[in-house]
Amino acid sequence: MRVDKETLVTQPHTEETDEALVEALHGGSGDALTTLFDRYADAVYTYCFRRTASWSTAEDASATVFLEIWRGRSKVITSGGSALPWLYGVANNVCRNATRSSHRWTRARSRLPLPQSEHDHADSVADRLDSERQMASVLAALAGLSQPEQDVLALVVWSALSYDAAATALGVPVGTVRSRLARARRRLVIAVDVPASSGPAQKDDHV
Amino acid sequence: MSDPRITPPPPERMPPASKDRIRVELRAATHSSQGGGTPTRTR
Repeated sequence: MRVDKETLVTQPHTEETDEALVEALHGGSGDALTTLFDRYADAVYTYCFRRTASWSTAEDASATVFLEIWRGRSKVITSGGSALPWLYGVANNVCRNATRSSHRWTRARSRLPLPQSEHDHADSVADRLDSERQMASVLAALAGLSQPEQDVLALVVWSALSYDAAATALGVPVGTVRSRLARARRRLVIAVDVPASSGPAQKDDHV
Repeated sequence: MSDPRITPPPPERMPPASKDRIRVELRAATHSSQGGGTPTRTR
């Protein structure tokens, strides 16, 4: 089994393509959903974490993404042979809702005593807290961007989707993806290295 | 990405126990009905 280090997408054991799985999903195959979950759970988990800065919220959001994929299975499409852009598109909306709920939960939790961590888990707990702090700081830096601009940045820059794939994820034209990213980059006033794999559509789009 | 201010932490795997829990949820959803529950607006 091969795993992409950037996206943690697990390459399939079988010849079963995403297109075949999505077709099976349209026909109501629960096995197809499970296979998509096995293939993309880590990628969706990481994506949800990057949108919420919370591992526990990311876990719940990931579950919701795949449940929503099942509920809306007739609408699922692939882009460039991959179902991942559609999953990310659903994740955007799920994370937006999850973030609103988690703000309420965080306020409630802050009134409770802090749990005592087991020594065995102290390091991993510390690592998770570190990455949550780092991610919260990144999201704070992006706070000046509109939500659609943040979506495009997360899809194209962090997740290395092509402009076409990002357009599929967001349900907007490719030109809109290009203009949102250009606007985001101007607002950030920093150099953002868009991955070369994002395709020819972006070659003349550097600002 | 070059600017650390907008560089997220590296990707991580979902804990195996969490994956198992979600697989159970997915199996329940796919076996129970045509999706079940009240759909939320996601697309």
